[in-house]
Amino acid sequence: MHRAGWTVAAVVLLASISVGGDSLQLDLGLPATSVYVATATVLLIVLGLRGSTKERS
Amino acid sequence: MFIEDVLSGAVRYGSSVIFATQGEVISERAGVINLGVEGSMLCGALAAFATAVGTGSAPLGVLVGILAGAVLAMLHGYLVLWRGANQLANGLAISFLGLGITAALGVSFVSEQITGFGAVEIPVLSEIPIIGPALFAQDILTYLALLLPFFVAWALAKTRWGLILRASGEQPEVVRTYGYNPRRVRFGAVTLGGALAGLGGSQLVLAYTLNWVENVTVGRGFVAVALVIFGAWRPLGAAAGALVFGAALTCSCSCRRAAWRPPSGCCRWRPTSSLCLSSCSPRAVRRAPSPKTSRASSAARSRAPSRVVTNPTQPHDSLHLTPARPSACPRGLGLTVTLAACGSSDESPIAALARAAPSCAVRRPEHRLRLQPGGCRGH
Repeated sequence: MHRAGWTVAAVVLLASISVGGDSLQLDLGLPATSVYVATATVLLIVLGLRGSTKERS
Repeated sequence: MFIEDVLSGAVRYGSSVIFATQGEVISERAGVINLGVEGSMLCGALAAFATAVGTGSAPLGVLVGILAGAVLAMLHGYLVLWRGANQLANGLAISFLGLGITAALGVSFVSEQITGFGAVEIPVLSEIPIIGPALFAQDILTYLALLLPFFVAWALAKTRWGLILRASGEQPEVVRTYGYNPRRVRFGAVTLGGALAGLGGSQLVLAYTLNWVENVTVGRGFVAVALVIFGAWRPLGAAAGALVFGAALTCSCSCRRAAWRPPSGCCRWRPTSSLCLSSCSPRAVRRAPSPKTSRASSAARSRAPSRVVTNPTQPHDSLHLTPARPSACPRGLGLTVTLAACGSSDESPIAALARAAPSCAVRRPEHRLRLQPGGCRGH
């Protein structure tokens, strides 16, 4: 099921990760691409959990 | 000279994409779309390059690259097949992961140089004008890339493995009745696809660029996914698309070197536009599953009554059952018996099948037959 509300929430989440990643990069000296790793990790966790919840229901 | 350059460049540019397309064909024919090909290629490329730098052995680098690509694809397969994650979103996340990991870990390898695979010229054949240098004066991985589509096409069409794999994508219930677990077959296909993508990445750094830069594949993985659609999910079609893509890239580079200098944006536009146009080929459009049809057929299936068929009314109704012993039924996985027998009197379909095709006993007779639009089907 595609819901507009969740899409907006996902956009906000990914934007937060992106901005937070930039800050981390500046503050801690992490490589710029750590944002990609963070985004992918969050996405994979959310997708995996959401998928398993859907299957259970 | 220009044609020779373009042909040679098409093969050299396209061979890494050929590996990725063949992996994606295998994965998609098994029913799993893997958009993480880009990530697998990048991981394979970095693993291969790092191994080659560390050990000085390019063949060992290829093996490690294959392994790295397979591991990332296994993550995709696990999340999609066992955790129920969305295939497309998960594939994109895997691509991000591959891009991020390789960029972070590959910083220390940026200035390194390796020997890699050299060109192996085949005597006599490499001296044929125009096609000789393109086809017979390449490295060993490029030769492998040129042969692989034929092997994959043969394996998918002619072997039992290919039959099971295709059936897992098209009719998993048949595979299940046959005694295989379609989920595991799909997982194996996704893993193999990732391994081939890793091999493509290895070829790129060990035989073509011979150095490492961040995002070295520059979107070749996504191009491979598009080329699979262009090739109508056929190994040879996808490989041909990869060569066309390589030729378009070479043309754009040759144009820059030539007296005629188009704007750089134009050069970049040309390969991408050729890909967009090629994806609209009539064959690809024809083969693409129609969402309307799929939705309609799934809805019809869900509405179908789940009762044992004893008396189908349509004379053309057919019974699809899976034979217990494939050797006894050479027609393949789905044995279709046009019955007649299914429609006669009160005889059960199982008994009707046993009478019509005694050599093809049903493996799980407790599985009931379900009436579906267009016939009764083994379930």
